[in-house]
Amino acid sequence: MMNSDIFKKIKGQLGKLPKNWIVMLETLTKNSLDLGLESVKILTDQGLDALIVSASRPCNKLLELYEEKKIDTKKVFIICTVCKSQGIDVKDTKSIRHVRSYDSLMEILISLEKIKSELKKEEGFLFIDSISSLLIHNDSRKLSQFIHRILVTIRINNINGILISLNEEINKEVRAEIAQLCDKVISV
Amino acid sequence: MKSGKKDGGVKEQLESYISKQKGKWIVLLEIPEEKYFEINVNTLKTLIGRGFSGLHISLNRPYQNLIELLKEQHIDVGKLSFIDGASSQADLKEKETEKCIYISKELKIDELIRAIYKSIPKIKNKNKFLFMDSITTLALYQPLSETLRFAEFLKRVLQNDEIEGVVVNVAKDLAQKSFIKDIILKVDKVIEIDGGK
Repeated sequence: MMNSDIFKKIKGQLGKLPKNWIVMLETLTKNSLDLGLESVKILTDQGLDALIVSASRPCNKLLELYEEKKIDTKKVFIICTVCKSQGIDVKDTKSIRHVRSYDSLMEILISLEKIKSELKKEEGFLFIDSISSLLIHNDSRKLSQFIHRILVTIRINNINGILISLNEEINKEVRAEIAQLCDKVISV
Repeated sequence: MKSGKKDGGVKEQLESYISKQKGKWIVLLEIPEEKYFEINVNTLKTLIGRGFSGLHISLNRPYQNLIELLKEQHIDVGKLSFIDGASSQADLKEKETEKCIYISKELKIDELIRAIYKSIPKIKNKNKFLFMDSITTLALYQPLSETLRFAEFLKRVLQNDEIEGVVVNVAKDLAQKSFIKDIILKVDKVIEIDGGK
């Protein structure tokens, strides 16, 4: 469990962001789940829609965790890279889209294009959980290109963004490529 | 050594360097990635404050977003022209305007060079600079040989009577990449910016 100081810090930081922000959240692997859940909770409670790119957990497990955390799942849209990668037989719904595998970066961008129209205008955020998980399955240059493209896309569409990055599992060059594209880097 | 200044000392260092130059100059700024945009803003403010007008090549942020943010930061955007290499990454097809030329998503060097030559005459000031937000973003899309060709071009563009200085940015943690070391050999000065307060 994360300590309450970390919760307070993240609540304070996410509570005072300017319009159209993109934030890189750096943390330790052991804190990443709690930090992710807390961030989604804080922002959906503020009325924002959440568009989750999940590379760490299958979408059904993620929804269970959100419900336990009392996150309004009607505000949640998921692009799941995990289910099909693990051979789970799944169907897309209005709020959940599945891509073929962890390395289907182009497909994630296409899904984002399709799903973004479901978000309330200027009241949504993209949440990537996590860059480190995507990096395990993708070449670092391709991943940096993908993050560049996805961040430009959300900026153009006035969607906010949070990228989770795990300190122990990201090389410093990829971190630097991505951090320079963000408005703020928060380490907790 | 830490500058102790909020902007990491960019204004102080850049002004000190430029004021000593009798001829043209090309500078590489090594910037902590956590303060990247903030330091870009201060670089532009410093150059405009010294009476320059410039061409901003933006690969990290789309023009629409960038211009709003620069206005919020009280930058006189009337003193800037833009080349936008970001919008096309989101498949946005914008038409060229007086202020901005959009280049295609492949970020081809020849297209970028053509856009630069087309933009320079539009800047109405005899003291002009060229500012590029990130040379490493270019290298994500182009082979290193092409990125280095572009760095050569930046040196050559100074032969153009109208351009007085060039500022190219690189994130600090990427400055050790081997192709950046090649670029360092082509610039007149590397200015390291710290994280500030």
